[in-house]
Amino acid sequence: MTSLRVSPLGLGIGWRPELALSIDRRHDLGFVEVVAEDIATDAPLPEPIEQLRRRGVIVIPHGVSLSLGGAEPLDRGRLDHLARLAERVNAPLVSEHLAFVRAGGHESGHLLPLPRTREAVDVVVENVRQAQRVLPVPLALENIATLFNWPDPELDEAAFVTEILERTDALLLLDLENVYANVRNHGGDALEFFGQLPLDRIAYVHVAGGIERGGVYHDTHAHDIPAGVLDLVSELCARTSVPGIMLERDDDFPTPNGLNRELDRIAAAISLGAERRTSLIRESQLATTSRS
Amino acid sequence: MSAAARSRLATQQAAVVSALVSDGAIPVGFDAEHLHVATESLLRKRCRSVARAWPTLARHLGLEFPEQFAAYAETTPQPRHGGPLADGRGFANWTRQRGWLSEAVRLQTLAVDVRFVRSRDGLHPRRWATIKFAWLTQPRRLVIALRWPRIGERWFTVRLGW
Repeated sequence: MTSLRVSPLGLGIGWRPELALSIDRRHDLGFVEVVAEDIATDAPLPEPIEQLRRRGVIVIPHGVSLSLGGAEPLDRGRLDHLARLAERVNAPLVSEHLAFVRAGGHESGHLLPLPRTREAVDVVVENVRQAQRVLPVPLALENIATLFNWPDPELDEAAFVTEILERTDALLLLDLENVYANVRNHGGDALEFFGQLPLDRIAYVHVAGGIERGGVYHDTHAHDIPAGVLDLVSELCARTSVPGIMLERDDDFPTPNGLNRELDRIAAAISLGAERRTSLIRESQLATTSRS
Repeated sequence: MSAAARSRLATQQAAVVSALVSDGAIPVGFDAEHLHVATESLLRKRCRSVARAWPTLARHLGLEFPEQFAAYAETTPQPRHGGPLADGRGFANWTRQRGWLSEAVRLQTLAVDVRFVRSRDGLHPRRWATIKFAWLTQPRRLVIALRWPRIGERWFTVRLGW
């Protein structure tokens, strides 16, 4: 397997029209992610995005409707759109989800979990390879949050994700709020999950907020980031050097100050983890020196 | 990978989506309560996405938006093409058939219709030059939208009467 290291992206955010002004005012952002389906390729790009590009901010198209885990053949129109958009914004990579969104003539409107079986892995791998042949840049695959699971899994989530990444050579878009949500709703251990994933394949990381309703945690992207998600940011940054980390906010948009606070909380969690990593590395170097 | 494996997965996925967004039975082995929570979450996400894509319609319906949207969604599946913009275009039509639309909604409808062709499965970008009109009454005027794909769009307003 080739090692695809992604060049540093830094701190980022999901670009939404409602946040354009707040994003424009924040000058430490290295990248923005745009929802591919929301951007037309037969019209000029929204001016705020062009302005960010002129400032050197990297733009990453993020697909939500390709249905890479779907048993139906990939929709060539959607795939071509993602490819055209990647070229249009000169993106270093694009991303999509390990999920399916439609089947049997029904659109679900959102990302649905896949059965974690070897047969499903084969289907996803075949779809991802097909997408990779059309896309002009590397593809990163995102883990999703699930409110239900399929019966009789043959693989746990980490093994499922890892096998797909290894067989397709795709990068990983690790969504920490989805990890947090799945642990809260279905059990498991986030740090153990990190331990099983190929962390060197992380292209970038999603961070978002959600809320508990009726004993179930929902990843709404409309609420502040829970402390537990920020802890995962620190834990991850203590284990590996992450190329980029971004906030996803899709609804109940905060004021510019509110958004700044959320981004600052992420930046602080990154620093905390990175410091721990530096001191861990120093300790291990000292231990090696004293042994020799 | 065998075609049989893909076809088996297609059948299973169709059953799951049908149980979630249509009136399909709960597939064997799935937790009914979890699927119910997912169904509610999908409807909430669908409703919020349309409200974001159609701020004029959200303002027009105000607090009634979620209830009205739920009634619309019960009989109307999500369109395959065009996402929340297409879904909201269908909802605007549904709302107009049951009452009226504010001028702001009608202007957004005009903006969408000049860019997209409506079909049974959603919205598709127009490939050719298009002209669309809206008659508005406050004040009385004719709004004309012209669009040439890849070139641009021009809007004109003709006042009618003083």
